[in-house]
Amino acid sequence: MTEAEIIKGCQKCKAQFQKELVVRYSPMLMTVSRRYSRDNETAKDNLQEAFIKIFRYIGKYKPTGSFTAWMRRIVINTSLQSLDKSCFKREISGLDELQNQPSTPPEAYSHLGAEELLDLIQQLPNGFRQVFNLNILEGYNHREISELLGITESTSRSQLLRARNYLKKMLAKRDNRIRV
Amino acid sequence: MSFEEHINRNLKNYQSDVDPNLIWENIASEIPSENEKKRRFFFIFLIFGALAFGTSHLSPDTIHGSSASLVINERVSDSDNNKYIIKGFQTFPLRTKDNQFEIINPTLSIQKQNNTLKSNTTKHNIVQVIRQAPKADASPSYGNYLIENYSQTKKIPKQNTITAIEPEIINHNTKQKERETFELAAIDMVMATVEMKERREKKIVAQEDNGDTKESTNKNKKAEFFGGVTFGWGSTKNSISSKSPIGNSYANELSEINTRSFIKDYSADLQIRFPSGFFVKSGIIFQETSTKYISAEKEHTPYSGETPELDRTPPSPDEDISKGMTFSSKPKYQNSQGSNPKDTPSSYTSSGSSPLPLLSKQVSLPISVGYLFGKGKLKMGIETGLLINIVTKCDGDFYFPNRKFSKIEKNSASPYKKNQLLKFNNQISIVYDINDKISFNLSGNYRFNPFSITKKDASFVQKQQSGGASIGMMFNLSN
Repeated sequence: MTEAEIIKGCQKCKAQFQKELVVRYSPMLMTVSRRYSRDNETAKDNLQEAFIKIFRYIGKYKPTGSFTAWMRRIVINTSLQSLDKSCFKREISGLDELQNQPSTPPEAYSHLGAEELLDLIQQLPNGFRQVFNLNILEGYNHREISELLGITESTSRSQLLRARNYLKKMLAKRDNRIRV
Repeated sequence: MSFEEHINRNLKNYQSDVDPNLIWENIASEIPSENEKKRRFFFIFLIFGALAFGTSHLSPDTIHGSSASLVINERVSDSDNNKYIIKGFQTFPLRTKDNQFEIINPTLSIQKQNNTLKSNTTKHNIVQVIRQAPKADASPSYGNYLIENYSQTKKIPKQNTITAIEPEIINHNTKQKERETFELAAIDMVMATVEMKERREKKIVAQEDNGDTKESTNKNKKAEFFGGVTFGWGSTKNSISSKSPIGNSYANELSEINTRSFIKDYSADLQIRFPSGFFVKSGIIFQETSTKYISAEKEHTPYSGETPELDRTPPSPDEDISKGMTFSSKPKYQNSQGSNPKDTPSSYTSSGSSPLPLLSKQVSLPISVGYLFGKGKLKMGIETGLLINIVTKCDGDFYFPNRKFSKIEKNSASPYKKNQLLKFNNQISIVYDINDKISFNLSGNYRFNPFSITKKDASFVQKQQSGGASIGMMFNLSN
């Protein structure tokens, strides 16, 4: 069953094609959802919500762009919409000590696999995690992030800087535990 | 490779371990299904169907019905027994090419002038012609058809074929020529229908081959039924005379008693008018007769050979007659004797009046035949017939000679016949047809008893006659 056939079947609301879409794209989209969520349960809830939106609006999908990218965008938007916007202010305090941290050596993270990396990202405070994901993994610039999240560009930059420092600190702690 | 690049490379196509079936089970009930889609389409179809139905009723019929006046509404058949409904409307608004509505006030009138039907119309008038095809030719479309049968008698440009006749509002997008063709043909059809209707229902002037005109009567015209109500007033005069001398010296002492009664009658009429002008009429009449005045005359005539005495005292009225009356006497002169009339009075007459309480209620069945003169709206009718009394109820005293005042109904010795009330009824009327449905009539009547209303063994003879006027309305029940 090709992607085009799945899309066409889903547009006709045929259950077999809808299920095939869920089975085929759930693992990939779950990864996206996990990156934007604090834990896997929240990620699963967001993914289910995103699938409902996908099936509801698949009739409006035009095959001019990547279908996968279109679904990723829906998952990201669903995850962001579930986010409390106040997190961008609330989680700023108490993180100044993370600034100006030395760069992390490659040996500190080169051995980390995808699950471990996802675990690290999920440990980021909400605000840091969203900006980090959007900038580093999705490729959005700060202006786009500010429009997407309803924050200022400087806040976006600040959140990204602190997210990096937070990760460096977590990697350092992880590295120390391993050495000990 | 930086940390961010390391994350990107590892997570870009990473497939998380998740149970897709569980996700599917959780969302299956909340996503759009095929049945739901069908239901949605059904409701959408239902809504659009309702809108389409409403629109079709608004255009043109409902629009015509609500914002325009129906000028023509005819059902006709052609030679092939195809049936047509023909409607002519004054209507507005019309849709312009910019889809904006404009209000126009067209007029459509069809009138008969010089034996020719003429129309006065604007080009925006809408005439709707709907063909009802026979079953064998059932088709949703409105095809062409001939109106040749109808156009033969008209002095208007012949347009035997009507094309593109559809029940729709003519909009300005329609090509001018096509629209004019449509309108001409449709109006032509309507005019023919009106003329046919006139030929069917009335006398019309038909054009003869030699150019002369003469009146012709349509034999297919049927009798018309009218029903109506009438209210009338009248007065009755009772003439009473003694059958034999009373036996005293004044043999002709009691000669005549007159009573006068006032009548109110209410009637429900049923009339059948025939095309020839004759009519028959029946119904039921409720009549209330109130006697409010009685007069009596007493005349003294001397015996033969008796010499009138100039100073003779006029005779006093009988006791019965005088009861409740005020009499006055005066000499009655025999002017034919010549000489000095003042010196030779031949008799004396006493007269008086008194209210006499008597209320009579009667229900009668009228049967009459008549003829209506005239062809236009104003007609004159004459009729003659009988009034058969079927119920009588009298209250009050009634006077008759040599007897005390008696209740008519309770007195077995009543001199009156029980089934006495058969009257001749003659009437002359003025009838004005307000329209095809309603007629107004004003009539005068004269009713009389052909026979005495008293028994054979009664000591006197009493006859009644009455006159009255009535006003009423008649409604054509044929349509």
